[in-house]
Amino acid sequence: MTKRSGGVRYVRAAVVFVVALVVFDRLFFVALQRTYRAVDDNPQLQQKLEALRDKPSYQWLILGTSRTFEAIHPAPIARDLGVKAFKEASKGKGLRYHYEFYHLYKRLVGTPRLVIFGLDHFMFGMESEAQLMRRFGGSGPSAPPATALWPPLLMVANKPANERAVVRILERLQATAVAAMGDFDPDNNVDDMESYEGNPVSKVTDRAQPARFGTVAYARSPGIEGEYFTRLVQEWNDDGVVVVFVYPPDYIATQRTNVEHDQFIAHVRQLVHGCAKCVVLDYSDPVRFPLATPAYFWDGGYGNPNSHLSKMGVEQWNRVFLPDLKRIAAGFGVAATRR
Amino acid sequence: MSFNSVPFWGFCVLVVSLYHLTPSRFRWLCLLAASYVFYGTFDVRILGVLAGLTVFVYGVSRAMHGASGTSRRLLLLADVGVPLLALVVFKYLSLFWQAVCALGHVLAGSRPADAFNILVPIGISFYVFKLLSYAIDVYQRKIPAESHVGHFALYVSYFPQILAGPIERAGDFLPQIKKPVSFHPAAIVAGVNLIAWGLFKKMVVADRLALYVDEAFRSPSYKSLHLVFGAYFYYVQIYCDFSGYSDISTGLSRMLGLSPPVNFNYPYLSRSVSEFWTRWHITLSTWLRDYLFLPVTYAVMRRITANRWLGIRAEVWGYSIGTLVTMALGGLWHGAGWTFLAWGALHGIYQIVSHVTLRSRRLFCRAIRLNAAPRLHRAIKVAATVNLVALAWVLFRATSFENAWTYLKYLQLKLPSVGMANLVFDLAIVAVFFGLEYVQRNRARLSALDRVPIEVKAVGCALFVMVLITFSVDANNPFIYFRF
Repeated sequence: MTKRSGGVRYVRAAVVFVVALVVFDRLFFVALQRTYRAVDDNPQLQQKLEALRDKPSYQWLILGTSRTFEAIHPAPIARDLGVKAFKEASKGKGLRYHYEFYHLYKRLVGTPRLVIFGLDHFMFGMESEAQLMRRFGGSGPSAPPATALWPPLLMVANKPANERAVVRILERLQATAVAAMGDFDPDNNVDDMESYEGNPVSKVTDRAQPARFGTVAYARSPGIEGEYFTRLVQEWNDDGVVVVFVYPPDYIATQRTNVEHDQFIAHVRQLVHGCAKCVVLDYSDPVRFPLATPAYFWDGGYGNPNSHLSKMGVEQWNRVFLPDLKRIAAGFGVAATRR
Repeated sequence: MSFNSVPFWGFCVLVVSLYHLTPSRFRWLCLLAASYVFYGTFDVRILGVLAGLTVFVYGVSRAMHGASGTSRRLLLLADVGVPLLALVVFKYLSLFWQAVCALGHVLAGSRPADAFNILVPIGISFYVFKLLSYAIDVYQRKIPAESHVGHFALYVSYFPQILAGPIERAGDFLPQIKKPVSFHPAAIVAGVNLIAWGLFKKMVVADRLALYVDEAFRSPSYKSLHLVFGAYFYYVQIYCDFSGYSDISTGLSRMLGLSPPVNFNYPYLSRSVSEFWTRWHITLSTWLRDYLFLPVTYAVMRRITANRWLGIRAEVWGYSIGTLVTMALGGLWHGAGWTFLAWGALHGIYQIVSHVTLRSRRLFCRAIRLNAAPRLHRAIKVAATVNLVALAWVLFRATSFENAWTYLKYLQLKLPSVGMANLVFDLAIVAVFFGLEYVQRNRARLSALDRVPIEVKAVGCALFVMVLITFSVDANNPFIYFRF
């Protein structure tokens, strides 16, 4: 083989490589997007939404993020207050998601008499997962068309979104596997949602406060989806719904990590100021709850902005929270009465 | 600038291009400048340590080359002592100080000390070992003292190797940079292939498994079966992380026309822990063998004048003490922590037990006719070695003895209800990885691959790159061995 023909072969191989790379990029991108969409159309979700139609006896509604998912449970509310509550809370569900869900809930079940809204230090800086928003008939994630020539590699240009998609697919596969095993799935199964009372495990270890650790200020409103919070408050006010905004306890180390907690609560109070039936309760306060007891928390730590109550923590907290809730409900006349 | 970062690859393209465009006699200068720029990107202050030690060892070794007798020995002492002192001061002083203060706290009730906040020059363990081997080789007249300070400085600071090896010997490296290198597209292709394979190991396998392993070690008390897989996955993770780095380093060297030593040879196929150390981090193992194990073993055997002492043969004493000292210090070389020392010592104990029970094990195998089934025999040996090594990795990975003990205490085969999808996904990645390793290992037998047209190979490469992009973890995780 001559030097020249060898060079031509290398050039030809390089061209084939580039073309094949772009083709594979489009194929992988389309396959990932389709899988991502397919896994979220799961039967558990359909079942949960159908249950809204089948079980219209829900009077209260619980909304929030994963903090709320672990802290506020329909079971003790039903037991102690005699009211059935529907919970729609977990990670990835931001203010826009709640706004859309509230509309769906009103359409399928009717206007709730009371809403318990779990506050989160980061709720104004959080974006509802685009894929979750598809549940409400939206267009879903705004992925670029696979036929577009630019960017040349969609898998590189959308790497963070693709990574989230992979994680989400794995989560859904996990949920499906759990459901197939007949295991407990309070996030998607309505019966399990009604009976779930918290995570029995605590992985928090008692550690001395280090000299230095990262701190995080609260996300300012309106932030990413703050406008939906304002809209929700307005709508609840118009609907005459009693709304109890609750900040569940954070582990002491996380509370010190998430600085400006008092300013955040003051900010929320200011935002709901015009709402006649809105109440703000803050339990992330060492005076109101023993925040330094590791067993009461599933996670949390210095430099860790996430903290969730454990089952033991929930039981302890309910001794304070449920009487407060009962008093508020009675005050507004929405205590246990069958419709 | 980590090896798995975009700026690094821009830097490499620039350096490889400049290197091949520069006239042969100035190429060392191009690489030396690139190496110092690369090293300086981590912290400009650490350049002083590197340059200072390089000039010192260069000068003393030159003086040693012409000296004899006591002055030669004194010069060796300085040549070895100063780099070692630098290593101890920068890397271990804080650990030793804490140990002394802890002892003081127990004995006299004094206040326990905090760790020193001292700047540790990245890669110091690697280049100090290069300097030591050079000094000892010059003393033993295995190689002449290098006369060209620039070439010597390049040997010490060579950027593909400075952060995490391989720990190449001066006798192998210096002649290569003196030879003129011509540009070969095939060398560039071979280098790129190796780099892509290294990146796959690091970004797809190691970083993906790290998510699982980190979670298992973070709070081991509730993870059940995940802990069992966590230990095995850590073995695969650290192998892919470190051998991936070595592949990238070797690939870069090939593109520059150099031939670095092999650092890994499928260690998970070892039939004993001793064999594992001939396949894992080979350049460190041979360094430890030549400059620590053999001198210690001979020194012990010289001191035991009789054939036996306390009923044990002198040779066994020599081997056992040599192995334990070498492995314990080798463990401590990996990190300034007592768990690393214990990890090394455990490997030493494995090898000593293996050595002293060799005869009885052979007899046992003969008695149960295991020798008649060599494949089964080999599989049992490999499985036993994998498990022993994986068990030791728990100590290596754990943040403390308490963490390691908790991890081992909670190991169980109970099926967990959470994290199974991740487990299955990670198992699939591990299976794909070992499949590709099998192809690599058996390339000679799979000669049909060589007959595949280059265009088809290009399509295969494109598919491989796309898998790399899709399944790599979107995080800039540093290489584990950069810490050492």
